[in-house]
Amino acid sequence: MAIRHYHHHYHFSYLTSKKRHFTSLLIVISIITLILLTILHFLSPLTSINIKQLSWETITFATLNTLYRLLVSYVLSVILSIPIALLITKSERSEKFLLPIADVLQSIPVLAFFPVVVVFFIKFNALETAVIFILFLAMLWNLIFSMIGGLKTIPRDITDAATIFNIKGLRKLRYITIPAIFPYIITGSLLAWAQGWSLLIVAEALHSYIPNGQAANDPLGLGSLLVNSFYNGQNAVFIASLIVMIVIIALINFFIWQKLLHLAERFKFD
Amino acid sequence: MTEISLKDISKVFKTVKVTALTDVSLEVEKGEFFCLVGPSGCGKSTILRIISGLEKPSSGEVQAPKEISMVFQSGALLPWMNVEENISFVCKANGMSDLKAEEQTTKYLRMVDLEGFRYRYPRELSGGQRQRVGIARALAIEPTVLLLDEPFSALDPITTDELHTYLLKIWKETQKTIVMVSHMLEEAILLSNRIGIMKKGEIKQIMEIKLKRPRSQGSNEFLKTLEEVKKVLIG
Repeated sequence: MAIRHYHHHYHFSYLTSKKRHFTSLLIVISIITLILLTILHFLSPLTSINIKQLSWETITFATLNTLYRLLVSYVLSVILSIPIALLITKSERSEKFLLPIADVLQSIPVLAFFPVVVVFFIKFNALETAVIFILFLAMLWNLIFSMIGGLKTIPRDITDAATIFNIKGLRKLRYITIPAIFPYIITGSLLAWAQGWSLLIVAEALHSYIPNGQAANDPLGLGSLLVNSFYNGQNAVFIASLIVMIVIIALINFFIWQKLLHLAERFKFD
Repeated sequence: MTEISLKDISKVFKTVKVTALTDVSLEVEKGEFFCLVGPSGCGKSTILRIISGLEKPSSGEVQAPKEISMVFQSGALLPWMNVEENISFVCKANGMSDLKAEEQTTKYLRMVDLEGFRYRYPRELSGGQRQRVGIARALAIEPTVLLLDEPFSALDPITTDELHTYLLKIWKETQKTIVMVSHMLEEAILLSNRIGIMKKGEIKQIMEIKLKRPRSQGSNEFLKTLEEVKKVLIG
């Protein structure tokens, strides 16, 4: 009886959150559109919006490019953050030395290195890599610190049991450590993606960092589209890309993070 | 035959500057049910951790077989594996084939009457059932020594009684050497051949419990033994 009740409870809250999620998405989009239209109306009357500038092709390409960049930087940062988090929490001594270093590094704002990074990558004509590198750096810290938090909350009984039952190395990593920090990887990922989206606007609008840079040099993406359309007074493009961005974020939230957060419940210790 | 022997064991935790054990010597016979009792913080769990190899003594000699298994207070089951996987995973990690691991799982789940719960997840089990899975898992790797670290202290009295019965049945059937840590004196007297009464990092007295089995907590002899143990702890 108790067991059934427990499951029922979880599914129930999951379903309500689904409904609420869509409703709130609709509300948020309508409010933002309304506010933006009002503001833009005052800045430049709506009649001046040139619909011809709005091409679905451009927005679709921009969206795909942006998603690709975020995905690559996310995958890279997950792959790298696991060994780093493991190394930092390996022993009391390593924690004493490495944790403060990581702390100082994470507190340096990513955008502070941005001009240097851009100049460096431009030397090799690798703008795409510059964007990915910046997004990667921004995502990395969220993941590392979430994982450290997770590693430190693994109950002692569990780590003792692993030692007693001779579970070590890759087997321990795959069947105990990674599942144990899975909920923390998910919350860290949520933060990482949020950070990624917010940095996108700067990371893709590279031209302001390039001496004599032209907007045309920017790698196409939702971020650069937002910045440049606003700069050039292409209001329709601006609103369209903003709405696409919100919808994409909401969809990712709904179809990926909500499901993973739900799944993560199964990996939690009591 | 002596299965476990500790000689002049001391343990100091350097980082917190706490002396957990001073000159503890102890011998446990093969097939014996030995229980360490005492108030919390007396060092009884540290002895268990030293026997299991989880902790190294600061000085002294330890002799214990390598095939040691342990039951934990929390059960220490992995929430993302069902009952069967929790047991067979540990078997495979100890070099058993898939088939053998499967056999062991069935055998010991049957012993704790949880065969029907094979595909349940730990969160779907009661505290007592989880602890029974913990016992089955500990036995499935065929240890010579079974260590139990306050295995029943998080359970209600009725479930605890039930698990005592299981533990005695298992001890009788498998003839394992059992070392248990408990802060419940009644439990120790009910189950063990001998109990080590601990206080402030030392074993004050090792007392043989001569009561006939099955023991009853209400009998006069039982209560008399309980008084004797309490006297050692207070005095």
